[in-house]
Amino acid sequence: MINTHPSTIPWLASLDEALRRAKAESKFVLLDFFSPT
Amino acid sequence: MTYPEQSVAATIAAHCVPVQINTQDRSGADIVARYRQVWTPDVRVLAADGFELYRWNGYLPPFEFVPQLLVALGQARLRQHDEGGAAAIYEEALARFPTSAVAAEAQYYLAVARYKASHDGADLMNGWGKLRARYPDSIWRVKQSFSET
Repeated sequence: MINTHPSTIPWLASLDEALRRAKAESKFVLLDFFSPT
Repeated sequence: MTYPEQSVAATIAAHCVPVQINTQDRSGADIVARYRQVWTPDVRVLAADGFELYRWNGYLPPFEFVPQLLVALGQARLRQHDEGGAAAIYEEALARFPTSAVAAEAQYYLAVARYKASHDGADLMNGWGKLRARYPDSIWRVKQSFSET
């Protein structure tokens, strides 16, 4: 997914942090692999 | 574009912690390798221990992204043995997006989730009956065709 547009989604850049938060909040992680070009 | 849409952001916020990895940046190389990532767009739904529960490739506009994410979350809950939670998500996907590309998948697994929760075969057969009626040309109809008499 090309990440070139503003979004209200609070994207993290660290998978480890996302996993930590997901465990704390009882949520899943949405992992989006993107290519800027 | 998809992510700026409020419906997309709201669905993500309700269920997920979102993280993006730039596949062309060296800092993400270990994650790219860990999940054997080869093509973008590439979206994964992970459990909190990093286990991959669902994934899909390819761009989706908002009206297909939201139902696809809901179906992914339903599968994720099902694989965590939360059949009630899975059923609720599948019901939402079907109620809000009955004509989406993943609606048939949602109907298929809604029947599965209800059956696994109730252990009543009628729940499975009734749900798959709706699949046959509503999505007769889908591959998901084929996947349950062994049950047809």
